[in-house]
Amino acid sequence: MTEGMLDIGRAAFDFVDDIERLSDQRALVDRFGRELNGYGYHAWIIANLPNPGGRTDSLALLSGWPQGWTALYRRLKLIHNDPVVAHCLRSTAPFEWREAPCDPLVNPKAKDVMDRATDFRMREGFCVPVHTSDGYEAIVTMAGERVELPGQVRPALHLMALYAYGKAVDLCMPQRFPAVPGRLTKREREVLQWTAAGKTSWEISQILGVAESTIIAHIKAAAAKLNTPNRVATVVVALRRGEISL
Amino acid sequence: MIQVHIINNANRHLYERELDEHHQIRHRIYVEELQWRGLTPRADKREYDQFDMDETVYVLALEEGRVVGGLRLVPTTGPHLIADVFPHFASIQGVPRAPDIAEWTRLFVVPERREEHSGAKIRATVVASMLEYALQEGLSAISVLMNAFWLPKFQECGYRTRPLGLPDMHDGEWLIAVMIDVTPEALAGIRAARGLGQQSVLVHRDPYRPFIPGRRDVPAVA
Repeated sequence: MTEGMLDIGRAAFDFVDDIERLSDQRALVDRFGRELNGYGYHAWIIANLPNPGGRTDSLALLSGWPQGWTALYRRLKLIHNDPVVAHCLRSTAPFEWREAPCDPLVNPKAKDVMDRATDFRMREGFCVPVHTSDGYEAIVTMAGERVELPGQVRPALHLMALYAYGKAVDLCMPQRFPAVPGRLTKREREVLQWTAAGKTSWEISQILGVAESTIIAHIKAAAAKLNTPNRVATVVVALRRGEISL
Repeated sequence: MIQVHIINNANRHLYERELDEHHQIRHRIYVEELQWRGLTPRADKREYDQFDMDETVYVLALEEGRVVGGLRLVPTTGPHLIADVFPHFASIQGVPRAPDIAEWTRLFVVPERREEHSGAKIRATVVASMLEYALQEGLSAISVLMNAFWLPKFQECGYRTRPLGLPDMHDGEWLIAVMIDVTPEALAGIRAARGLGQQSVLVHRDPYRPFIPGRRDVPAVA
């Protein structure tokens, strides 16, 4: 492996490390946008795709598209004729836009979509298809005017796109993975909720009208279920899972 | 009813028939169906490679005595796929090697059971049982070389994964090596995302041998 390739790889790993810590969408938009700009891509989007015959609006998770393009794309329903989207639904491997078949005999309107994109300085692009287990298809794609894409950059973009997608889902669709049902009992959640509010076991026992030892037993039971070492950690994990809230 | 059995060199005498069936299934899948490069057809129609060792642990899903799915774990302190065959997939982070890190290979569901719903369910059951076993054995992580398109599916289950190197093309597929953190959240995540319920289907028959040699503080098996 050459030094240049290692540098590109390390930069991609730094990106993966960095975004794990991000807690809001804006920060991810900035970080991903900055990274892609470094490779010459000024525009990008992370979006779920409509199922065939399903709803027609694409479900953008995070968008770095030029605003005019988003508006035009929606208004003219370009998604139906977009050859990049069509290829994305059929491909598991990442590809460059120019690799997406754009045969006027198959779809005379496909070339028009690509031509309109160039009006927004989107001439060259790269696309990473995402296939989820429930048959949901998604896309991470990026575009620029004249993009040199040496062989070693593709794997780095591929990696960053997959992790950016995962993070985008985390930040944009947190309810997608609800708390595991039935994990904590109602009483355990109630006790943890009071613990999160700063109440001691004794105080909770007074509020709920039960023995303090019962409260301690509930907290212990919850800690065992969540595999946490102490009550602070138990509250943190319960919060993160949405079992309780602040 | 599917149960997922842990088979290692301490209890393998209880499973000779199932292990043999599993090697035949692997021949059908990896040699005949997928025609993996590096695997040559064998006269006895059983697939083995250099990572079927004394230390190897087989995680097999059994249904009415028949093998319907499975996978394989090996300690990363010894020979394993990423270290010995594909180290360039770990070129950025290096090959992880630790007693509490296992490498996962050869996930399969028998072709007869791959119809859409039950195939996915068997696969998820095997993977969830692997995570449950890894938790019981005190493992911290599992490394795996896999098709890159699995990564978003892992993220759906809420696994925390860390890449070991950049994706690369092998045999026409983009592969990537990652480490999956072994956590209660990962186990709860796959159970929730795949609708498996909270009930364990893991079976670990005596005589017991820990995955981490010399480990004593073995939690009670549920």
